[in-house]
Amino acid sequence: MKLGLLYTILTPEVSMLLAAAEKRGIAVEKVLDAHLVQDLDRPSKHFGKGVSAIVQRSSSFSRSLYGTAALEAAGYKVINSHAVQSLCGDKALTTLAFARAKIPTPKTKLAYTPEGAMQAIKDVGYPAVLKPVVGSWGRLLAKVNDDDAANAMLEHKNELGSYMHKIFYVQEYVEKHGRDIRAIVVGDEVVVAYYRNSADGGWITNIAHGGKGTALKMTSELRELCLKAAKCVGGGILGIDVFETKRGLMVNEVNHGVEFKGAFAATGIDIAGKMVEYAASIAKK
Amino acid sequence: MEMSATCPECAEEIKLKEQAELGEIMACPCCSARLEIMSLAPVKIQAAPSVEEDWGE
Repeated sequence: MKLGLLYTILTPEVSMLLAAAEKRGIAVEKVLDAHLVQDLDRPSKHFGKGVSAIVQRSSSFSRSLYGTAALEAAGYKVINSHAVQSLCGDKALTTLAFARAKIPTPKTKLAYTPEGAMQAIKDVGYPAVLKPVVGSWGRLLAKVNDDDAANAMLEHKNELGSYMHKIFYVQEYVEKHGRDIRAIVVGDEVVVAYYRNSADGGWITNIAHGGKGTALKMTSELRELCLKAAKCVGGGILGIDVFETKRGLMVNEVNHGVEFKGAFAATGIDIAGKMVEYAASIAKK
Repeated sequence: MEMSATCPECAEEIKLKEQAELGEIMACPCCSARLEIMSLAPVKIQAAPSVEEDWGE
């Protein structure tokens, strides 16, 4: 049995996965996604003999999505699957999945014109948060506190953004006092959960924005919520972002290409090991 | 075995470390260009991809 690993650049996470596989005697065939030229009109193998499951670690969402679609068409099992990536990579589709599963999440609306977005902002009230439906690392988020800011932001998105920025994802602002929870679910296990504390006490807590991880005490409520969120998007290796709010725990989003160097630094848990073991179990099925 | 490659930006010859890995990002010691190792046999390096809007988790 050999695992495939598809990636864009050698990130710390990719290095940790490779080391974990080596430690467990699991052979890995590494392929850079830049080298893939995939047949779409017929199934074609891109990995060598013995590879049936591939760990997808492309840095680019679009490369990951299309690459995975073609790999699955060729018969490979990909972690995470195209269906899971499609859902998790689009915040609007993820929120719809939360609603279907009755998972608590901030009030969220979608609009397709600046006028519609303004109506959505009025509906959720100020402050309101604007997010691109596709995006990560806390980029291109906007918290708008009044009509002036909202109008300016909507005009900029409408005029300067690509067509995807004209899908206006509007969310109520939820006070979380400078921290949120990131949990990593692998299969049916919450492997780790930790607090992400914003760098400046502000509202953006992403590690990519300078947020720092600190340990937290797992509760059964948090565990069940994370497992439910993972299940509702199709399961796999997922990063669940949870807010602690006055209305209780709320799930903000699910990440299908979860990074974990921050989690490892904060907790020392062998997250890469769990991921590799899970991938190996999928390969053996 | 020592591996080396030519920086695509400034043409400096760069010696790769013995444990160089596919996909590894490195800086040219001469011009500081951000480079990616695309192949080890033969050795090929090129400008590393920039972070795009759809990069992330």
